[in-house]
Amino acid sequence: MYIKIKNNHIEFIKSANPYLIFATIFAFVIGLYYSLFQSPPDYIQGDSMRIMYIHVPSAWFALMTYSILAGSCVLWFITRNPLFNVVARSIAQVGMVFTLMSLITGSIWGKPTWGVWWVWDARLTSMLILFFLYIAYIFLWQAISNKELASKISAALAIIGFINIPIIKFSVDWWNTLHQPASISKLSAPSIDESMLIPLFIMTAACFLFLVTVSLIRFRLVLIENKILRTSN
Amino acid sequence: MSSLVKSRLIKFLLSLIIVSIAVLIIIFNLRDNIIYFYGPTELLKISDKQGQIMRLGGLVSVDSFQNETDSIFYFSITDGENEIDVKYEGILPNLFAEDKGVVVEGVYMNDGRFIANKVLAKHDENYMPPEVIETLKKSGKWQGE
Amino acid sequence: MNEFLDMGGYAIFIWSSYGIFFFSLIIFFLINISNLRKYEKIFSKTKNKIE
Repeated sequence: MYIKIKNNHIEFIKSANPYLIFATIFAFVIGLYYSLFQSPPDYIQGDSMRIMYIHVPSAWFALMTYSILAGSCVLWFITRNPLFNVVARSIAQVGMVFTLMSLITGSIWGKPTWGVWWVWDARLTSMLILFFLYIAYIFLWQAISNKELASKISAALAIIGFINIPIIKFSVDWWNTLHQPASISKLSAPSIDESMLIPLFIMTAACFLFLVTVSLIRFRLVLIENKILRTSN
Repeated sequence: MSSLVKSRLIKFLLSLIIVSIAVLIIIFNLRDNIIYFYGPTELLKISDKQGQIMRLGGLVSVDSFQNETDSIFYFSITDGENEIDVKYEGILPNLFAEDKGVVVEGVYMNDGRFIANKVLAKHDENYMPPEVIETLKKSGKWQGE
Repeated sequence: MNEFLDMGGYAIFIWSSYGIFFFSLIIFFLINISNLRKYEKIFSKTKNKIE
């Protein structure tokens, strides 16, 4: 289980960086073309549903990133391999940005659709809690000067907070919420027309590339931060 | 696997089980507070509902919408079983329509009418371009309105 | 073109959400790039001191 990071791994990540940046920009340009020009408007919501193309991928990656974060914290707790700690700290902030983006774009979509910017229903509230969990994880690590202790406390918080993820996912099925249930699920045909699925999937791919690109930059950043902390002690 | 890793794994799994049981208990106790709105059938079942501020949600019944003036509206909300008449004074959201989802906030009166002071349109999970709806309607495959 | 910018009357919602989304992503990316450069500089300095 003990994986060590060697210098040639970092060199490889470094050399992949420009290609990843290019691929991310390329995917976003294609995605923007599809979501703003190619996609038809919705039969009820009209053009305001175009916000979905950035809202839904943001929400998906907010949840996925947190799952990886909690997963690596579990692995770190059990194996104490510092690599998992580095992975968790690399992706936490990207997840926080995606959570914030899904909250903001969702709010801007809610105004013309529901008639309000915000409601305290189960889906929106649990998503806001996810945002606070990300902030707590990041700030706890920064605030505690003993970094071994900081890693333990923030990892414990991330693991306990994982209970929020199934709550977000199933809130729309378990309780009456203003937020609609999922349009895409594995078990049934999607309730979204194909002409709208294509832009959604391109934007999802673009957001995924962004997640990978920034996480790898942060991976290098966190490794150097660790080295600085070690030498200054 | 070393014994140290094994003992950590067991400790971790134990605490995970304890935390999830605690959370499940909390969720089931909070159930009534987490529900954002009641359907007409659920609302009618509640005792001492009169005079309390609550939210009612469902579909706007077909042919029930009337407006007295530009800002006073009457409609009923249905869940297929029961119907509740609603009176609302204010501005309706753009997506408000008969046979579409809606959530209203207000007070259930003694005469069985719901006086709303807030109306929210509830969108469903379907996303379709207008042309697709037209063809679906023509072929008779469209399940909606 | 005007019709495209108008977005069926939802212009302000669509352009503001897309604007905030891409602005935030770009800013976040740039912050991390500049932090990486900063840390690399600090690290090379501390390494020189030790050597």
